[in-house]
Amino acid sequence: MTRTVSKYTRIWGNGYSLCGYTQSIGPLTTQFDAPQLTTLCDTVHGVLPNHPMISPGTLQGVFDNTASGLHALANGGGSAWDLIVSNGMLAEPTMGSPAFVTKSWQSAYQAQDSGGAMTCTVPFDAWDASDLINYSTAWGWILNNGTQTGVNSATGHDAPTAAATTTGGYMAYQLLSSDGSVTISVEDSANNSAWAAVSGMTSGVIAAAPAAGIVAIGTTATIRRYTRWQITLGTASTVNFVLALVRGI
Amino acid sequence: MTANTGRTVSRWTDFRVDDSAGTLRSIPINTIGAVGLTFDVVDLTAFQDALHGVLLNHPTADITIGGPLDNSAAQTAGTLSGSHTVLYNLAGGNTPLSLGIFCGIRHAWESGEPVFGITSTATAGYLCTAYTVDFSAGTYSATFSPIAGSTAPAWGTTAIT
Repeated sequence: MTRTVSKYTRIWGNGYSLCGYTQSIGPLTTQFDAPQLTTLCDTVHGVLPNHPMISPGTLQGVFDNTASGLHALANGGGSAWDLIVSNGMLAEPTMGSPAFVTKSWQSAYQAQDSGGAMTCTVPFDAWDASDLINYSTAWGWILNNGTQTGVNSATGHDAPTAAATTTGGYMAYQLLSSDGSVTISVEDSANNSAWAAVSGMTSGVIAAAPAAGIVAIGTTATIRRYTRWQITLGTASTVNFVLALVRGI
Repeated sequence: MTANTGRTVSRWTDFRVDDSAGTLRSIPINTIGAVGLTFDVVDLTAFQDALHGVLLNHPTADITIGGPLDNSAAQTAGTLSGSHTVLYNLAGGNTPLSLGIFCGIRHAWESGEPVFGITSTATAGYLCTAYTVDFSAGTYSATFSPIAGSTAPAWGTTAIT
């Protein structure tokens, strides 16, 4: 078992790394409505879960007007963000690090004095209703965080259940920089040596950075035990990206 | 001097608002509520959806300030005027006011650095909806809200006038 601290938290949004402007983010929430269904003869109150509200909570950051910084990206408020939040285990997030994935509306941008420091508050609400997915979970794992210059021939991430899943899932990508076009995808394997593309889990050709997106597959699709990132270089030779996989539950 | 980029502290924040004659003035503040737009969130979840989904509706852009009560003579914006001198007869008026929160980046605000607010027109700007004074503390507070039908205040980098 590994514990960690917040200095290893990383936040990526709409193709940008936000950790250089962020002081905190959260709580990372999956909150299910739980209507009461208790009857007179029940011995205890009982509920059933209904819809979840998934949200990354509130980003507290420094008020910083650096080009492509948090103020430049967020000051308008009212935008939908593709977000990945991950906490490395006493290190930079890497393959297997927990990842919280959302597409959430930024409901405000508020600058304020915080004991002398100029800070900003960026609250995020629930999932974008115009781009809903058919999954009720936001937790997955990082498959890649960093720069790649060629196809992946390494071993992958082992599912925590040590088995394939048959409940579909979705991938989330954040392309932070690239010197040309690239396609980002997920591959799976039963034995961590023979690999194939997970059908439908591809970004398609991304022309340039910054870019971000979520690609979901069917809720009954099979994803084999091991998964890894994969890229197809178009005109790019170097790409810096984050890729996360969420398996359906 | 040229515009800076990066982080800053509150000592470089300047609050400016029109006086009753329509002249922009800087007034002393020591508290300011959240500056920016906050959007109404509308839950549009259907039974058949897998999770809650929302869309955004209108934003609010109310500004609440507080500071020392001061009746110094009015000065050109950039130099402090008395808070009471500027605010005492604004509350309840229906003439849109220019209002700007100038956020200097480690020095007095320069063009190119962040400023939130709006330059008023006949139909756009802020109204002062409240002005209260606490004599025992020697302080005031004031609240401003966009006039009905106003264009939205926004973040920019050029001076509000």
